[in-house]
Amino acid sequence: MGLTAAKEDDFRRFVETHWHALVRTAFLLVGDHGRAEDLVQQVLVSVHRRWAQIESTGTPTGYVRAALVNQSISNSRRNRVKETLFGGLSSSERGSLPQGFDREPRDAYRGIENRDVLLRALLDLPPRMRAVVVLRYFEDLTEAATAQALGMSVGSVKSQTSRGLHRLREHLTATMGEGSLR
Amino acid sequence: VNDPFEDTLREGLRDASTDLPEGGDPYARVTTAITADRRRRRALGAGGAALALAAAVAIGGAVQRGMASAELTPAGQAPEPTSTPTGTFEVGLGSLVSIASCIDRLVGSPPGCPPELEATGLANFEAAVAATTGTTPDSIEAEVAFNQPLPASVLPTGETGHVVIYQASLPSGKHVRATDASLSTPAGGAGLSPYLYEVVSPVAPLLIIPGEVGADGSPILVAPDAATLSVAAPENRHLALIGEAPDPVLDLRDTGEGVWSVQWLPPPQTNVRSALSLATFTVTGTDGIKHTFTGAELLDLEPIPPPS
Repeated sequence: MGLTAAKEDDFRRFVETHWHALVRTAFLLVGDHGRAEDLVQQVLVSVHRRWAQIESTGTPTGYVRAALVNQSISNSRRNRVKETLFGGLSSSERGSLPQGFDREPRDAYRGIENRDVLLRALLDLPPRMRAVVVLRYFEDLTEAATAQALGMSVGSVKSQTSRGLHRLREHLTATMGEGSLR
Repeated sequence: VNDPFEDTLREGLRDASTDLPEGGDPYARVTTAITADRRRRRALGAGGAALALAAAVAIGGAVQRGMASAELTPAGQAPEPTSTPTGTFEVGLGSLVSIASCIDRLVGSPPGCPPELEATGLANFEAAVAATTGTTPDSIEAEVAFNQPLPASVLPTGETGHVVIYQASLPSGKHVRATDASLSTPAGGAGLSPYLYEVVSPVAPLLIIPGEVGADGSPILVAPDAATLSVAAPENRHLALIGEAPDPVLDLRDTGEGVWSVQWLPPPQTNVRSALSLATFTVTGTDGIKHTFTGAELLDLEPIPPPS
């Protein structure tokens, strides 16, 4: 069963408008552009089946974003394919500094210029914690909105955020040196 | 008071994803996936395994015989191309690569048919025959039976299907037929960019039926007899099956570690005498779109000599 032409048109506009933003969020969740697009596609296929109802809520963007992070967590649980941000590098290789990262640490830290380092740190977080960090600090959702999107309590969001920040800071400090992330 | 680290993190997250390429037609991509999803659901709803096998047989038996035909004996000796180049690229790895390469050689397509792969493909077939019949074939013949765009009813994304039929002659005078298939997309042509596939998952699909997978992406296909199931080396993931009823459905799950787990489901049909090689693989086009296919090799064994 398909959508009416008008609903299908609404869906098309939604996809065309939000695709790139969703892919960016997905990229931070999975660490790979291709897999990010796959994730967004997977979610939108599901969304299409219920588009009429989702659109009627008036907040389809929030719904799809929540579906995206939850699908990401679900996929991570299945772990059918290991996340390979760095193309199957060994853990020791992943732990090494990337090329061009021999500048003064303080310069390197400023603005977290090296996205690879940040992505590595992000992907080392457990999926749910990573989702919390992405929703809070990339999507700029409030704690309450993050809790709603992930189906968890505000208290859990707070604790996941706190632990996520702690682990990110530890990882980045270990990789980049002391004093850069102040 | 904001922690400076949080501000830095915000900035870093935005920077990290800011350069992702835009472009393409996401709606077209999504609608293609929606179509595939509907097909999959329909197939599963109507007995996906049976449909997959039926479609496999339909493709394997479909017309266009004689586009290129040659006898490949002894194994590994390639014939001269007997038809014009098709300008297509094979997909797949393992047996599929070798067989697709062999197809390319047969139809004379551009370079990309390493002799060793071709020999490997024939050797794989020979080994499959030996494993399933217990005898070494006297000779092997190969024929390109199908080499044209697949109808939209089979595959809506416009790929070209290739089917090659192998036939082995056994010392007993019996013959073993194997129908193998691959997909490719047009290379070149007006308005089309070469569409090379990068194989992501090294598996050996031989008959490609897209979308016919379980809810978790596992292939679901028909297998003739659980009792005689044997699983060859994981690298080519070949299942050799000989027998008759009860004709269970084989639910084959890739555990992600190169190990297949097998589960038998209620049989959708009976009286199948064949062997299957099954796999799922994902390919990425140069347009960045990934496609997941289910593959099955159907070995028609008739009559079946007893294993020695």
